[in-house]
Amino acid sequence: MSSYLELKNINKSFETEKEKKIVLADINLKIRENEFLTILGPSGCGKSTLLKIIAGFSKTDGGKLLKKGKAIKEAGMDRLMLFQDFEQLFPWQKVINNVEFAVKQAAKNKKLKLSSVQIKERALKYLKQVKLRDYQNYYPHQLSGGMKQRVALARTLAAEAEIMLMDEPFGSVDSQTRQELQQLLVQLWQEENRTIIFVTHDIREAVFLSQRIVVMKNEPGQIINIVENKLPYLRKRSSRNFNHLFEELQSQLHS
Amino acid sequence: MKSKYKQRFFWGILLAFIWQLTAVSGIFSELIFPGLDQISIVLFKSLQDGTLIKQIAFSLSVIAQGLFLATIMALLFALTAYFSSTAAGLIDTLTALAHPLPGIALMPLILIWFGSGRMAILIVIIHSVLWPLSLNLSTGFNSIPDIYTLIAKNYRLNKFEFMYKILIPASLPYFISGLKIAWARSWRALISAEMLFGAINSLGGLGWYIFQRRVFFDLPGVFAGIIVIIMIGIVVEDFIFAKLENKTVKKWGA
Repeated sequence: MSSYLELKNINKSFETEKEKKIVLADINLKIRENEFLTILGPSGCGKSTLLKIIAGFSKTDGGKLLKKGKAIKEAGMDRLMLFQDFEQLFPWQKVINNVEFAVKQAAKNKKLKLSSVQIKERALKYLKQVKLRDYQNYYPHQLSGGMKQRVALARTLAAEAEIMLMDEPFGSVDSQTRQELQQLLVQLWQEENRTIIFVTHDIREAVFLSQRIVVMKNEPGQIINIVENKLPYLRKRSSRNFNHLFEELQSQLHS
Repeated sequence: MKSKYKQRFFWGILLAFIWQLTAVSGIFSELIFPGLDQISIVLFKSLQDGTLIKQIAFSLSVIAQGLFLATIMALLFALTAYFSSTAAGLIDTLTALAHPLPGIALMPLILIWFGSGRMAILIVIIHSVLWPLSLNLSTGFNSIPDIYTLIAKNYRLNKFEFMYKILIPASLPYFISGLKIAWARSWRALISAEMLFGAINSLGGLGWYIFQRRVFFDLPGVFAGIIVIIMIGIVVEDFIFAKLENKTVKKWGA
């Protein structure tokens, strides 16, 4: 049976002057369509590298990346990355234009012709989803970190990619904002069919967000377990089951 | 901002006053140290009868043309260097050779190769601007954050789209500071080139104007020319560039 997205025997190492460092060792993973998957691991376990490989930013040393059975070789708009860096927005464009950028590129990629009114409508729709419609004419530097990440999220949503890749996108915002953003993301994922692959080192984040949690260890970066998370949405961080899963994952990460 | 102009105004008035006192005191001959009254009379007269206006227009049109051409060339150089490492090597070598060479050192050669017309002045201007500007642009292009190149890959931007949607706006702060250097250098080069190359049909620019006034020992005329040169410099740097920055990089939060 061929799955939606499949990683087969992915290996990756970096060579420094002294030694060859293995970052990812024999990664095998099947990702289902429309699932919310988190990749959880300590820093240095290669989880971000793995995401970059899926995005097509980084080459593997061996192994294959398949989407519906076909090999993927380069970056594409079907797999869009949301970064942690606040600077991922273009500072020379207003918020609305940053989002329109994605709408335009997506239309061009699908060979669709959109009028400027249609482009703006779509961009506004996604800005509204992240609750920043009123900030459309602001420049990024006028926004807080959390708002910037919401605009970046709107931009990623606006491209209407099948797969969204998220590299600790909420890692640099304060915990209050982070929880709001996590909730928003779950909501948006439930409203529209998308596959999300979310990298994090925060166990609670993984438990709150995803249906499956891929647990990784470092040196070399390997998958040690894949945990199904069947807790019903929207999850309560204080619930007994939530904390039970949290403790289970914690013991796996520290074993 | 406001206080900067207030201060300038205050000191300007004071310096003018001292100047005038020195002139009236008779320490120096009136011929070599004219008073402000004489200078302003000459300034207004030559502005009124059009002789000075003609030279201003000439100088400004040559420098505008030179800056325009040099900017386009610098953009082409920097873009080629950005996209091709072979070209980058060549352009880097050319810049390393030509950048330290003052334009004025080239003038005798230009005189022989191109004569002394507008073309010769243009070449001096382009030489004085092209290298620092393409150097600045290259630095700007090479210092855009990696994340932009990843985004460009991810959103499938072709080279052309990448260039005008990301590369150029992202490096605009470098472009503007390059233009400022370019302006300052070309303005100096222009005035000296005009002095050296002389005039065709009495049209030789501000540099020529000053030079000619000296020949007639018309010092108020020399000072009138100098005042115009200072004024143009201030207007360009304090108003045109300031406005450009306010409309772009300042608005973007740089």
